[in-house]
Parts: sequence; structure tokens; C-alpha cells
Amino acid sequence: MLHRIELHKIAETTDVVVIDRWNVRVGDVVEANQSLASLETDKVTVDFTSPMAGTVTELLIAEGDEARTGEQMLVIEA
Amino acid sequence: MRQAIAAAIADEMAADDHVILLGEDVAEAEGVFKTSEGLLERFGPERVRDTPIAEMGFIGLAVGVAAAGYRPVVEIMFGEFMGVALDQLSTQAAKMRYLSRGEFTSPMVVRMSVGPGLGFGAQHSQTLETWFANTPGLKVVQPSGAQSAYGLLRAAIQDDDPVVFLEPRILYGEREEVDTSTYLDYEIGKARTAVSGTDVTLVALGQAVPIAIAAAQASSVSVEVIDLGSISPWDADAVAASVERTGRLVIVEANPYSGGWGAEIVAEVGSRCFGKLVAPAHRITCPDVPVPYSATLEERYIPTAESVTDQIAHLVGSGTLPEPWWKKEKR
Amino acid sequence: MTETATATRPLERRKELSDPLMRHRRMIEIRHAEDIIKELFASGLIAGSTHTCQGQEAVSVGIASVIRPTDLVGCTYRGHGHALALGIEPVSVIAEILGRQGGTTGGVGGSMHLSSKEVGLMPTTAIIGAGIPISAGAAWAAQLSGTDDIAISLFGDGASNIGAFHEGINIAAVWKLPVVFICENNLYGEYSRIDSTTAVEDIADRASSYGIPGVVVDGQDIDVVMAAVTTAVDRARAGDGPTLIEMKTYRYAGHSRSDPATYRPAGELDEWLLRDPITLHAEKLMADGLATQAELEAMDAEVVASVEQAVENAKMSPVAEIADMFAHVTAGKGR
Repeated sequence: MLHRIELHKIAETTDVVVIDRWNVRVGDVVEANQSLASLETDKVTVDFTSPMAGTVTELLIAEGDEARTGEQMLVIEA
Repeated sequence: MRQAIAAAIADEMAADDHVILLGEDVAEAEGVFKTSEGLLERFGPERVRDTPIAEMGFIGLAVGVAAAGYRPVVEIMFGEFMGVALDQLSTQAAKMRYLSRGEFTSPMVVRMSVGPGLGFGAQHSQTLETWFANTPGLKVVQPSGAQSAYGLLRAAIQDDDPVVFLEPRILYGEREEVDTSTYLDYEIGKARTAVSGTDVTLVALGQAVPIAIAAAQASSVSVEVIDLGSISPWDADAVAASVERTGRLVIVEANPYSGGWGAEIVAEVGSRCFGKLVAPAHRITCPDVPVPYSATLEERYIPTAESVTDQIAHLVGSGTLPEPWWKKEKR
Repeated sequence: MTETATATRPLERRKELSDPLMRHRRMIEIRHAEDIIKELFASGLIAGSTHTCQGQEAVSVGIASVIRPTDLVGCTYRGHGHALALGIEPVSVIAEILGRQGGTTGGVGGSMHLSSKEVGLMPTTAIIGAGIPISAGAAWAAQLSGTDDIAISLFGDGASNIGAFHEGINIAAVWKLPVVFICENNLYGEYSRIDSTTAVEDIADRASSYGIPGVVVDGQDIDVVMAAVTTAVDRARAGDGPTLIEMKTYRYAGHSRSDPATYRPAGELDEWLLRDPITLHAEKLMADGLATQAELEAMDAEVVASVEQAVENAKMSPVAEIADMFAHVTAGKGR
């Protein structure tokens, strides 16, 4: 089953983040809590971790681009 | 006790010119409970300083001045006022030494008046030990009268770590002979045996100590009363040694039941002395409600010596736990 | 490196800041160190989150250049730049962030808790606003001792809305404590970012509530920063009390550049990227004839190599031991 993973609220000061770096590629098998990406907000750099174990089938936002709270970030098959 | 407190501060200020006192109304008014009588006159306005009503501000100030080499004694008028400043004490002062590997420290004492019994109402009557007790880096001390206040406060001021000094407000007016030469006998973390006995170990702290002593004296059972003096660190060895002999542990607390400091004593000593107990450990406390105002209610709220004596008699006689009064007669 | 050499190197690094070329070098060092720290974080060597300060280098180096090592500094969890500016070596900062024994706090503090008495840095705090009254207290100690040392209180725009800001500054103003309050306002771009949380546009306007001077400063120009801090520090040393300085600055979230050449990217960050403190200072050094483009490029390459070496050295530092967790909790047995 395909899960479209949304961005949860990461920082208290803003809803906008920049994908600084994806730490996974399409085809990677991930565990729950594994780091998927490094995100930047206006104040802080944080980890975006996987809510589930599975296989990454699609990355929906490019490195360097912005995402907002609630936006879909990637697709995991589990 | 208030005079013993003022004397302890004065004697430490005389011995070390880096000891300073700050707080609301501590200078001109000599303290709302008169615990700094004569200090402004003797030591001057630089070392005895009135602050605005800004606890977070002046506790933070104390943290900074201590980090830079002074030894502040800060007065918090009513213990609850620490609520607006808890960060400065429990998160900043308590960790200063740890997070600087000892380069910066917090040799400060935060004194606060605490406890029920004077009709000050729900927001000015709690004992609050548990706000501070589970914080490594902080020491928490509570005297039970003028003599222990003098000794323990001098120990607190001389201590190089942040010490919370809880002053039972209801005992400020209590008088006793104070021998100032014995202050070195008072150590943080060391309990004192107030009454020797053989059949029950009765542990108390602060204003519960005189209650415990009166209960022991009125009891037909031989009761040993231990004044803990400190709750962090606390003298588990002394309490355990006593319970090994008596086989029974009872605690009197002037605070609500659930989560009270006595639970820590029961957990530790109950485990250590498990094989030696002949009755379940018993805690005599206030009910789990905010402190009520009306005198009839507040009197009932705090354990009395008589009820402690009765509950000890029940425990010793039957080997079972007496029921708290609020379960029997609440509604 | 011997123990003694390590102990004096931070103070030497502080003295170096009297030379504008060394100030430039320090800003580049902070930029590269922060970029590498972000890389370390992204690669999983640092857990949780990290707070970097690319874009704010002129503020930290400017302040460090005009205060004494005996002036105590209270700073927040966004403290790597301030630590490096004050003189702490990159290997010590990076080792701390990696949880190693060679770190400023022996690996026990982490990114948010750097500390060094030698250069006057009190343990950096993670609670917004907490450091404001603490810095005022450090200033009070100087006042009590009769020295003309001062204290610096560094905090962000968010802290100007918390209670400790009000209480700490008020007491410092009433008691005329020798402290300089410095707010690094690093929100980029639109006014709308701050107006959802803060009732005024310029945080410096809040100074008038306490009867102290409030100054808005271009935090991207190191010379302007130095001048403003010097004025405030002199005022404090003279016994005239505190000042509130608001540094308008900018944090490059993932768009950092340290190239001394001019750079024009597309997108909304144009304006601030043109005001990169390192680029601005490079232009000034070249215009004043203090350095050529080639010299600055060589400096850049040298700093990159030296920071990368510091990272390697930090990685070789042993991980904090279990015993380190139990050290320095209390003084030991009290009286």
C-alpha cells in the first residue's frame, strides 16, 4: 500500500521549510524513525524522520525547494 | 525561628564579604516575616538589596552574580512565587556547574516561606518540596525550629551548590534556646533523632516535626522521631538504621498525599528494610485538595499530633494501615 | 599540542581581532564551520536539531572585537558563531557538538551548551530569555567588585516577547547595571514574519519602556556593529547603565555563500544575499587596499582547509565516557 507522507509542524515560528538534503533515494528501504531528510527553517535545522518502515517509491519535493506544513513530501510503500 | 534566620545570614555576611542578600522588602522593611532584621543597617545597601516584584528577573540576577563569584541569598516571599521563576533555579542554576565542567558555579541559597496553617489560602500555603526534589544539582533543606534553622542556613550559605531553603512559616514565631556555637553539627543531608524510641520510626520534616514530637510524647508506644532536615539529599542510612530496629515506618507530612516527599522515603526504606518490617509503611498527610482558607477546614487539613498518636496506636495494635480521615468522613 | 598551548590559543585568537584582516578571517571561519556542522548534522553524526548562524557573522565577530575576556557573555543555543568569535578554537566547538571529550564541555553539553571561562563565555542556554537576567547578574558582580568590566546579553528576536526580557532589563535599568543587551533579529524578508508574534516592528523601540537607549543597527556591516557596541560598552563602563541594541541581521537557511566575489542568485533572498557580511567586508578591504581579490581567495581556501582539519581532529577526540556524566553535578560533599 502506498503512503503519501505529509510534513508535520516542525518549528514553532514558521510553517515553511526548505529541503536541505534528502538522506534517502527512490528504492531505499527505510525503518521507522530513520532520518529521511534534513530540513531548514528560519531558525533551525532539523531531522525529518520516517513514521513507518517501508520502501521509498517517490520523492515529491526537490532539494533546495520549500515545503509547507501539511504538504506531501514523499511516498513510501508499506 | 525568624531571629535565628536573621542571625545566620548576618553571621555568614560578617564572615564572608561576598555573601549578599536580595529579595522583595528584605532591606528597608527587614523582611515581611522580619527574617532580615538589622541587616540593612549593619551591612549597607549594596549588600542588602530590595528588588522589584520580578522573581524570574532577580533569581536570574542571583544566578549571574553567583556565576561571577558572589554568594547570593535570595528571598522568595511565598514559596509559590518560585513558580514564575523555576527555570532560573531548576534549569539554569542547577546545571551551571555541569554545563561548564565546574568553571562557573551557583553558590546561592534561595530561601522561601512555605506551609499551611496561617489562613493564607490556597496560593500561599503549599510546602512545595517536590517542585525541587527531583533535580540533580539542587539541594533542598527544611529546618524545624530556631536551632536547626540557624545551623542549616549557615550550612546552606557555605555550600558551593544551589540550595533551596524552605522555611516553615508557621514556625517563624516559635522560640527556643539557640546555641550558635554548634552550627557545624548541622549538615545538609544528615538527619537528627529528635526523640529516641524502640517500636516505631516516625519521620518528619519542617512543621511536621513538632507535630511528630508531640505525638510521640503522648503515645503509649515507644516512638522514635527522626527530623530529616533535608529532602535532597536525604539521610536514608539513618532512617533505615532506625527502621531495622523498630520494624515500623510512619511518615508525617504537611502536604497532600499523592506524590508527596514521604513516598520517596517509603520506597527507599521500604525496599531496603523489607524483611524487617512488621507492619506496612504508613504515611500521614494532608488530603489531595488545595489548602482551604476557613480556619475549621484548614485545621482539619493538617495532621494533628492527636491523630498521629491514634494512627500509630492502630498500626501497632493491628498491624494494618489506618484509613485516612477523608476516606471515612469526607461527605 | 601541549596543555599550555591549548590554554592560551583562545586568548591569542581574541587578540588577533584587532586586525581587520583577522576579523575577516574569523567571519569566514564561522561561515565554513557552520556549513560543515550542517553537513555533519545532515549526515547523521549529530542528533536532534542544530542552530546555525550563517549570515550573522558580523555581529559575533564585531562584538568579540571590542570587549575584554573579563567581560562575561551570556548567549543562547545559537552560539557556535559567538564561541568561535570569542576565541574558542573550531576543534573544541566541533568536538562538543559531536559529544567528544575534547569539546568545551567535555561532550556533556552538546551544541546548545558551549562554555569557556577563559574567554568569558558563560554556558550557553537553551531556554529563551533565561540568559537576560543572568547576564544582568554577571554585570552586577562587576558593579559590586568595583571593576569597570561589563556583561553582554545576547538573545534573539523571540526572546523580546518573553517575561525574562522585561524583568531582566527593568532591573538592570533601575540598578544601572553595566550590561549591554544585544538582540539579534534574524528574520529574513517580510515584515509579516514578525508581526504575527511581536507587537512592534523594531525591538529597539522597547528600550524606551525601561528608560534606556535603544539602537537599531545594520548587523551585516561589521564596522557599524563595532561602533555601536563600543558606544554601549563605554556607556556601561562609565556607570551610566544598560543599552538595548537591535542588530538587524539574517540567517541563510541553506543558502550560505562565503565567496568574496559578488553573487546574484534568483529568488526572494536576493536583497539579503547582497548584504552578506563577508562579501560586504571583502569589498571594503579591497577598496581600502588592505587585501586583493587573490589574497582573499587564498585566505578562504586556507580557512576551509583549517576548518576541515579541525573536524578531523574533533572526530579523533574520544567519545565522552560514562564517568563524565557523573562529574561536576555538585561540589561534592558540602558542609
